[in-house]
Amino acid sequence: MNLSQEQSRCAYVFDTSTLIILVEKCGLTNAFLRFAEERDLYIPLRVMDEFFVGKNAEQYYSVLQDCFTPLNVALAEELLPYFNFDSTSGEIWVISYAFKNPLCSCVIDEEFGRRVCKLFSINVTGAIGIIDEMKKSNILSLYDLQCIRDSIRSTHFYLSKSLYSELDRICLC
Amino acid sequence: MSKLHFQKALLYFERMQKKKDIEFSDFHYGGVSYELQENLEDLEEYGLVNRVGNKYLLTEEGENITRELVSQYDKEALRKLVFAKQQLNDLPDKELLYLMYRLFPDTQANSTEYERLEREKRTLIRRLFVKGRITAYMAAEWLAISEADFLESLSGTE
Repeated sequence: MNLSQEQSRCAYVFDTSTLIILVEKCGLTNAFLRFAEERDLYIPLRVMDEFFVGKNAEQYYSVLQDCFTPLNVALAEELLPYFNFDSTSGEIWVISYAFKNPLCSCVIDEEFGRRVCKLFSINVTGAIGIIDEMKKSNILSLYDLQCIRDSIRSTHFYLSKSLYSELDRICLC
Repeated sequence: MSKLHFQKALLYFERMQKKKDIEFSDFHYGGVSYELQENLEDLEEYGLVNRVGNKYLLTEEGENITRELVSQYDKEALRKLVFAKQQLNDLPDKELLYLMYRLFPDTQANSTEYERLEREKRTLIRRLFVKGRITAYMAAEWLAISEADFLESLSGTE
């Protein structure tokens, strides 16, 4: 890969709840293998720890290893006041990485983390944005998209009403 | 913004700054400053803010002075002030008070409200999370359940 190709690669750093939705609930493991071919996908170690606390997460260990680069992120101290001086939540590690690497986008669904990103002018998308990106890259077929929509709608996992509308727009058009 | 929101936003900002420039008392609601109240009354007297119902609004002159102050103010401090205001300004009183008590537990000490609000914590915490004022991690910790259980408990809510 030459330097210009490397510079133009998109980079994403993922939060725990988006990984749960995309990998565990929607089963997008094969899609992620293709998605990672042209993008750099990162997971902070703190998020990795949170993800593997989940009951069914162990089975995804190898796919996460194949698609994502684990990151030992240096905490951006500037963010601490916004998280009440607590660095336990995965989001502060996700945002810390993007804070120091402005070309990288955060993948966060929770409104709090998204608000902090906007305040610091950090690029942010969510699980639905990644599905949209996979659709645009022809990684997902119309049938895949309908299955994803059904999986997300039937799962007992929180997404805001506006994200559900966005999901319908992407998967039904 | 209301008197209560004004007081709490500045307390939030002070805690973010880790500074104690303003004296806050633990009386009644907890985290209330008489000094701030006097300052607010002075601003009203100077014609920089107007009281409309229980809300304080900037007058035209107040807006001009604010613009000038903003341009000179430290950018990092200003970002924290904006965040503190955004966190609280549109919250109903119960959600505002509960958020502040949980973020800054020392303000619970002599509160006349905390125990009552604690009985409604399940609803209040869910609302604060859905409005993006707290992380799922924080919500789960306050409810003493796992983050996954908390997120699953929200399915179907808006």
